[in-house]
Amino acid sequence: MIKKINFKHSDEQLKKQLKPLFAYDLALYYPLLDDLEKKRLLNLIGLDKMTDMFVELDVEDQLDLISRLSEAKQKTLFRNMESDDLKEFIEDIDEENRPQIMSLLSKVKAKTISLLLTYDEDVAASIMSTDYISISLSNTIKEATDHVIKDSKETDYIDTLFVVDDEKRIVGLIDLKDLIMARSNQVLEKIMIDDFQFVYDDETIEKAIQTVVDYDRNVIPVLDSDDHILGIVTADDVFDEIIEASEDDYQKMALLSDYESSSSAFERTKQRLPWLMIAVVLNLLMASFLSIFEGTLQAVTIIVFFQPLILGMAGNIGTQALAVTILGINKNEFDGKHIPKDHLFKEVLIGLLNSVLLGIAAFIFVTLFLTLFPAQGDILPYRMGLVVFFAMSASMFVSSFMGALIPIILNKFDQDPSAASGPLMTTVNDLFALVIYFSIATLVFL
Amino acid sequence: MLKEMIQLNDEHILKEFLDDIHAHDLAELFVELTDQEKNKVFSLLPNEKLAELVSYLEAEDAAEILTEFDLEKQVELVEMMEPDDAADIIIELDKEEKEELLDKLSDDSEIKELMQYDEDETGSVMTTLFIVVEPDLDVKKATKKVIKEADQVESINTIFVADEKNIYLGAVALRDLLKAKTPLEVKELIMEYPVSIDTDPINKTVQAIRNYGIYEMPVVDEYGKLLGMVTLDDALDVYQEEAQEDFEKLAALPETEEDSGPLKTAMHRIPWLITLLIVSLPIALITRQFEHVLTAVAILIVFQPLILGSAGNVATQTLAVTLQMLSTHEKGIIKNSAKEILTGIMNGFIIGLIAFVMTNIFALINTSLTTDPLLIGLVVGLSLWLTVIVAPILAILIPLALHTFKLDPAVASGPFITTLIDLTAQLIYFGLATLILGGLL
Repeated sequence: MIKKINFKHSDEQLKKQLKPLFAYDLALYYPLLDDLEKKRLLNLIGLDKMTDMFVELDVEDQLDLISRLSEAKQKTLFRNMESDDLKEFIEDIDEENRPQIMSLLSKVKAKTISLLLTYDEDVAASIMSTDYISISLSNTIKEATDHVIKDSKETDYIDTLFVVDDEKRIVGLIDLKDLIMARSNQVLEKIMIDDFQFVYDDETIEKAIQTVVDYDRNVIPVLDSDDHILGIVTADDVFDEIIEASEDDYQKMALLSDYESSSSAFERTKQRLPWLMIAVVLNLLMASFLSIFEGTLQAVTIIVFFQPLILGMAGNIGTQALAVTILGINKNEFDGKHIPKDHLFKEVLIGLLNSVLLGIAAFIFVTLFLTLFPAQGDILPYRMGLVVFFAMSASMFVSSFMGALIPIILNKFDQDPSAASGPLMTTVNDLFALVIYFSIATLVFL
Repeated sequence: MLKEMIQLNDEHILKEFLDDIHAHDLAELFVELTDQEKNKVFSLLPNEKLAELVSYLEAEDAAEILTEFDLEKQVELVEMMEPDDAADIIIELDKEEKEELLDKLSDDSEIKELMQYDEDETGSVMTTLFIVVEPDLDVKKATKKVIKEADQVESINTIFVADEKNIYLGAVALRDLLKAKTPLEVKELIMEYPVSIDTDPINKTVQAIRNYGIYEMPVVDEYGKLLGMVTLDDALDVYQEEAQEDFEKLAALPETEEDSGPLKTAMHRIPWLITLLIVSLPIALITRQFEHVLTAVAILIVFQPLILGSAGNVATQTLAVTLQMLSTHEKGIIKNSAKEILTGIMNGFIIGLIAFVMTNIFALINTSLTTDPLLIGLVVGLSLWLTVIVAPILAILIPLALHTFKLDPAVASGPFITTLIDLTAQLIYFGLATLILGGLL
């Protein structure tokens, strides 16, 4: 964690104190400051750092920050911002406020942003930035180098340059490294990489992410169907996307929605309550249904000894199958036609094997348990063991099958596969397990 | 595709194909080949591409392939790889082979230095290929140096500055260096730039790379000496691995092994399931103590899944939050824990109330089950509230205890905690039932 900023200092000293702090750290601070402190901070950090800090803030704090700036400073702030960050900001604010912000942008930038806003949120183009440098194939090495050095804006990505032909179609990439190493009499074509990775604007974000990750690229171009370059996707944006996606999965698996470490106990209660309530109501419905086994329960009370065991184990194996399947979907392992079937088949086999093995273990345990601690009535230990064996094997098998199947089905219909870790699924599994258990018990003992 | 190419048996075409293909794609096709076909590919690949191919394979597979070559070629290949990739692969070798190969590498080899780090230390993933300039160098000379050395490094976007004792001072953006006019010393261009220490946990460095939005993170030793850097793409790989591991652990899944058959995978997963089975055995023992209550008031049994299930859900939520805080080294665990417990108290009260009301209604309808719906409702509602309060406490204490004893806190996975919660919840539920319904017996 960062050191506390001491606002008691004079402006001079405060400035010195702020200098070594990074924009990200300042952004953590900003929401906690009072009005006067915010004003002093904004005055002292300079516009470049302010822009970097702005990008890291939540939208409410972004609006708060803007309201404290003069119009001239607002304009500079927006000019300094990368186009993808700016687009994200404008996307996040209320629709009625957008025109006012757009009016502060330069004509070119306003047009770019409007264009970026038209893309669907799951296509590669929606996370692209337009701050890249293209150079013409007919340029000499010197012209190209000068172009990069003189014409590039602070926000431009310059580590890789994009080479276009006369019709503005992309023909290759040049790493800046190779450009500055090149001898001046070489032609661009010689140092250009012509088999490069890219995505089309209507391909998915996942495709863009996968391309960046697989080929260890720091940047890939986004092209339209005529091979014109529209923008770039950079590895740091990809990193953000990956982190968001995996945190999302993790939280869903843990039955959390939109968890933030800063949210208060009250907010957490509000967020989680709906979930828990659904689970409670479903469980109560299940309870009323199970009362049809009243007779059995009253006659053979010992079946309750092993009820948590059966429910728990069914839940556990289901969770395993579910997690494997969600990970597979995320890694695009099931893109091919037959792979989901193969995966399902494999998981079914695994489920079958482990269910039976665990069932046998449970049989041994139950028989031993009831021999050591005889229950009331005249129930033979091994018969109870058999009941548990059948109930546990069957419910574990079904639960593992569902764990593998449901996410694949959800994915097929373009729904979020991690939704399968919800309470409905758990309750259905529980219900199934108990119905089997009580039915077998009824058959055997009554 | 590669398979068909090989079967065509035209060396010329195959060679051209191998020349053009990206090493990543080649690595994907390569794993599907038979040993014979693999050998064919080896014979046609130049060493440089072969080194690239091996770097793209999983470290285990790569190590296996490496051993197929004689020692001399092994040395040649690992020296062509990026030192961090090479170190990953060498670690996977058998003890003897590892020692043989390391013997052949020079003593000041960067690979050897990297191998000294623990797997979860920042130093283990850093690359030692970077450009460094001295602070009092003129910008023109610095630019020359950058151009001269650019060939040996991955990226020259950020150039590090260190003094003659190699003490790290900061970084210079290539753009600023190129734009600068001589005479000007490099130190005038230095910008504020984050830095990591080689023994920092890698997770911390990965988070910092993300937070600061940088492509290269310089790594220094405890005295501030510049050792190397961690690049964004390596950080990305580490993050993905870690995230997957956390996810698997939450689901009590052992680390995934790619491409193993169903039987092997089943055997791989079963130890955890058996452990969980054993952990749940005491539940039966506890229940047994309450047999007389259960016989008298059988209706209690149908509400048992409700109580155990809800407590399990709440515990999983708190567990995930606690584990995430531990793995990202976030501060404020105590404050967070207080919030979690408070959340439990509030949530528990509300769902306890709902359960109380609904159980009452349920018991009124099924009059045959009980003569005292109000008391049954009270037992169910109160038990639910209490267990939902206890659940987050356990889900915080267990991982924290594991963490304090330097055990991986994620071992306390969702299912493991849930089972422990079952045990506690059972005790509370039947205990309360005996207390409240004792008069009915």
